[in-house]
Amino acid sequence: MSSLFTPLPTPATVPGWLTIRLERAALRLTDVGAPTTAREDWRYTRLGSRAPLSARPLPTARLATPSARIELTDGQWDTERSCVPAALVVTTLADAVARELPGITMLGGIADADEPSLLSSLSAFAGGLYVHIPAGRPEGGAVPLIELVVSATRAGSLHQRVLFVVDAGAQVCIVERHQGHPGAERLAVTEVAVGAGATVDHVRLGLSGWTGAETTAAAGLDLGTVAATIAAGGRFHSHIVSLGVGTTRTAVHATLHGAGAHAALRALSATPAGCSHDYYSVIDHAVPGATSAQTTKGLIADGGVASVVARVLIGRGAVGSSTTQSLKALLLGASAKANLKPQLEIDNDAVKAAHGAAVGRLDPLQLFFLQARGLDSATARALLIAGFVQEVADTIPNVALASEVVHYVLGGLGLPSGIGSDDLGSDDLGSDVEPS
Amino acid sequence: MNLLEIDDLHVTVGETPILVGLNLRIPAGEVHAVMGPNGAGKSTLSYAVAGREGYDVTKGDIRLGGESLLALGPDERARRGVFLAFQYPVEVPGVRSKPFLRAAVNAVRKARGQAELDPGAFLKFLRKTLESVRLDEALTNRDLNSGFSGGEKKRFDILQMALLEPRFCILDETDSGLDIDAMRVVADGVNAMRTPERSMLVITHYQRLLDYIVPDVVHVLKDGRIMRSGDKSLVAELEARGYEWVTSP
Ligand SMILES: Nc1ncnc2c1ncn2[C@@H]1O[C@H](COP(=O)(O)OP(=O)(O)OP(=O)(O)O)[C@@H](O)[C@H]1O
Ligand SMILES: [Mg+2]
Repeated sequence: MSSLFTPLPTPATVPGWLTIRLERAALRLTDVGAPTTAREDWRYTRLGSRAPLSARPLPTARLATPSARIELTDGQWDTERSCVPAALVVTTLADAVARELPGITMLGGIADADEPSLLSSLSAFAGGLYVHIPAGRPEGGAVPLIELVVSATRAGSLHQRVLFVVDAGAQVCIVERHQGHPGAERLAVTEVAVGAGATVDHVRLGLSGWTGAETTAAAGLDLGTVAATIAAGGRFHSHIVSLGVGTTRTAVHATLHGAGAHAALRALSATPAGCSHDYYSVIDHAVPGATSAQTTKGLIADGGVASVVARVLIGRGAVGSSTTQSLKALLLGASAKANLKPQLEIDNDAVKAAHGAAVGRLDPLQLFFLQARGLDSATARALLIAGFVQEVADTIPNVALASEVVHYVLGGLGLPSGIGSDDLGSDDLGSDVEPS
Repeated sequence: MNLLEIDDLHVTVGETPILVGLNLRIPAGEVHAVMGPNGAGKSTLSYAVAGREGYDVTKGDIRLGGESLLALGPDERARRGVFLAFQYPVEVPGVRSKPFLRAAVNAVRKARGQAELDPGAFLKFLRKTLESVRLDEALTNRDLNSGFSGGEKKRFDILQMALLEPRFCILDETDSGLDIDAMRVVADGVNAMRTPERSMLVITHYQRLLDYIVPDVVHVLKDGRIMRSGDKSLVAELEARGYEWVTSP
């Protein structure tokens, strides 16, 4: 783990602005050090020794054909397996820095929190990717779907970094699949610059430890951070789906930088036995008149631990802000454990805020009702669990992806899937935007 | 031949004994009504037959077609043909009605040795059945019972009953909350399901339902037992005199 938090030396060839940023990050990291549970924002993350766990079989992806597919394997861009249309600019961060591509100065500047992941990952930027999404919609007016497959093929530690620059007025759905070697220790940072009036749906499917082959390895570590800055009128919808085998921590930092900006951060996790899933989110209302929402739903099997810390920062000046928070966890076994911490840090009165947090179990009356209709208890449980996740899955603006998420959740918990959303015509799956 | 036989049934909920020596026999093809004061144990009886957890049978037996149900879970009882229309149908937000209905229909069909219905065949069957209980298909695209009106929930239960084609049906106050027209529709649906093989137990507080679904036998459940049984004329007597006078079996 420690090697993930040792900064690499600053290359001699980078421009001044980046040198300053890299040096500052290296200095801060020296002060801050690698994360420990002594930090408030890392207090639940199980960073110590991890018992061996076996990989989960990765089903064939059933995602609707994406408009672009980008593969980042072991931290390097795999051009052979990627498929990028002309309208999209994809290159390495090193190249984007050298060519001063639009928005590149956002690199390392989106969230300047003292978050060790962000600080340490910056020095390893060179192999990472830059993706520029221009305004205007291509073929048929459908919202483009960009698929980014981030995989690890070996054990050991690994940095993965991506910067998405989304132009003003653009609309895009980005799905990141993080999958691969069960023993890998990965630190993956995604930065998203949401332009004025742009709408970005960002789905992160955390599938570390899901591989093609059954293997057992010392359980892996998947540390992911998504940092977004949202300009006026921009909308950022984050969907963090944590299904990893081992220890995972996903942090989302969203900063609302303009009036009318909106951030909706949603998280869904299914935590199997022996695993620990951590979600940390923070929304900073940096200006007046922005809105935000946080929704988390966790399913925890016996022997699993899931933790959520959801923060909202509304400063003295951010009048007319509105924010909601709903944190829920469903314990599926006697020794399942959930920690939910809603944190509203509000410094003025002209704010609308609502929040709630609840840890519960499957409702025995609902189970009885389903069983009284002939469904065996495993199926009844699976149906209720699918129902619990459906609400979050439904917010993913791609029907195929949403139902895939439900299948992964049930599969990850060893429950029968294929129920609850079976094919009875499209009206069963809702009618959100379906990219071509 | 009796389809349902209940012998000396004792049921405890929590620590409280609710049913204390209840006997009931319902021959195949008959409809029996159960009436009784609030809190008498009518719903407890229906849950005990359906197998709800927490309704502990401490003594006695419940048999369907000669087979004891007591060791069976609620799903196994349902697959053997027990159906309970709940007094308070349960809302299940997030669970879409249509896939649920198909899963339920196929579970009982499989248990009966019938072929499972593919989505197309199921949809046909569903539409035909919806028509018979005069429900709009739109309801089946929503989450199960979730946000349904009281009457919609009750009719949705009858839809499930018609789809599952059970051998033995319990209707627990299915008439409560129904408007006059809806009660007629429900009664028609129930009457259409009366066959020489199928039996029903209709729990109600009101004579009106029993004018539509005419019972073969009427029972009074009071103080945890069947206190009196008779023909349909017992209903009018109860309407006139209340339950006070019904004292011993
Ligand atoms: N979980 C419980 N714990 C304790 N007592 C219970 C519980 N559930 C039910 N009871 C009691 O059992 C008794 C019988 O209840 P039941 O629901 O069977 O009555 P009912 O005849 O159906 O009444 P109604 O006509 O009002 O529907 C009531 O006194 C009720 O309070
Ligand atoms: Mg009752």
